[in-house]
Amino acid sequence: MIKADWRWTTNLMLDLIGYNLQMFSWACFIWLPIAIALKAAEFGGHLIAVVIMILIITGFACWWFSLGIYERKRGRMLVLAFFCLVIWGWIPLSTAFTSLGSSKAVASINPSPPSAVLYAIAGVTLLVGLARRKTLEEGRR
Amino acid sequence: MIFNELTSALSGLIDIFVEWVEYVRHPFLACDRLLVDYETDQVRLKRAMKIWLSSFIISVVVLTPLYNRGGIGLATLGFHLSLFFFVTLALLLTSGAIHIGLLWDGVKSRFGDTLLIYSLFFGTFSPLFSLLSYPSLAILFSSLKVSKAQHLGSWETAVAVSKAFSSPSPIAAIPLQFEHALTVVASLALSGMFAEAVAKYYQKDRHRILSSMSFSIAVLGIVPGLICAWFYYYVVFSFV
Repeated sequence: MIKADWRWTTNLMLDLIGYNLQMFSWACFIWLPIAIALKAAEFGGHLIAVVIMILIITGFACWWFSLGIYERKRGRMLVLAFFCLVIWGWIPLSTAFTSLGSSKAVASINPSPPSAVLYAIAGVTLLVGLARRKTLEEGRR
Repeated sequence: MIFNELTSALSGLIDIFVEWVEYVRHPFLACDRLLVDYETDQVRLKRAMKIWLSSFIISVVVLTPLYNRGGIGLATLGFHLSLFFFVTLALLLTSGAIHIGLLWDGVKSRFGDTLLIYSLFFGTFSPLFSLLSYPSLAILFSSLKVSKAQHLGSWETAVAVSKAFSSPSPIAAIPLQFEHALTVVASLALSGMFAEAVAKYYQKDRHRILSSMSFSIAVLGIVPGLICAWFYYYVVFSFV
């Protein structure tokens, strides 16, 4: 029988953040490079190669973060990276995706009010995970 | 005579509904019970299909007002059967992808078991997703109707539909935003519950199951998912 107390719920939410990061990593490794490579004729090979390299590095970074959610150093870096992305990353990322001609990507990055609540919940979960990491790791299965 | 037929049809629907409510109330208990009660792979597959069918029927009932707006009645059997076929194909392909992902990660997954757990969690809660999809389906049906009135081809209609979604009217934008956010929450919660049940059944760590699921969904599941989504769109396009 599952005892859905705060520890179980926070563990599940942290695992799901890791799951999302890994999904994004796979997208950075495979699907986003393919989608961007299809735009090669429009933007030129060198620019596309640089963008694909950045994507692959981002993918590895996300994977690395997803494995270290319960570690102190990586947990801190993840929280920092998350808030940087949410607060400052908005405009440059939106502009970058718009210049690549994908209006759908902008729609998923720009925060609608309900999505902003989701980001806030994810941020609070990461902070709680960092603050109570030892207690949480004991209950992790 | 008509009253008797109506009573028997309604009692069948009530049986399906009661079974579904039981799965919604106690999904983990139902999962344990089903995996113990149904021993062979074939029986588990049949059981998974039965769960899926009952959820599909509830989804059809939930979406009936919207289908009616698109000119598709409850008696349009061709539409519902085609839809059932493609949605079931998506279920089989997704659980197949998860099964392969688990096997590659060293988890001794069995297809029948994984499919049963998957259809129990995602199938049981699929009427909830149908309810959540009201705003996007309303946009889909209205843009399809407009395109049909203009006698556009299937590709031009697809472009018009994608434009309708990327720049919705201000009235439609707010429900769409809520739908998007709630769908993300619901699918993540279900993924977590599914991973918990699989981890418990195969006696592995939940984060390991989620890790192999991320590969299954993000790599193996994308292409079959897109194909099924295209067929779904084509079925709706044909009948509206």
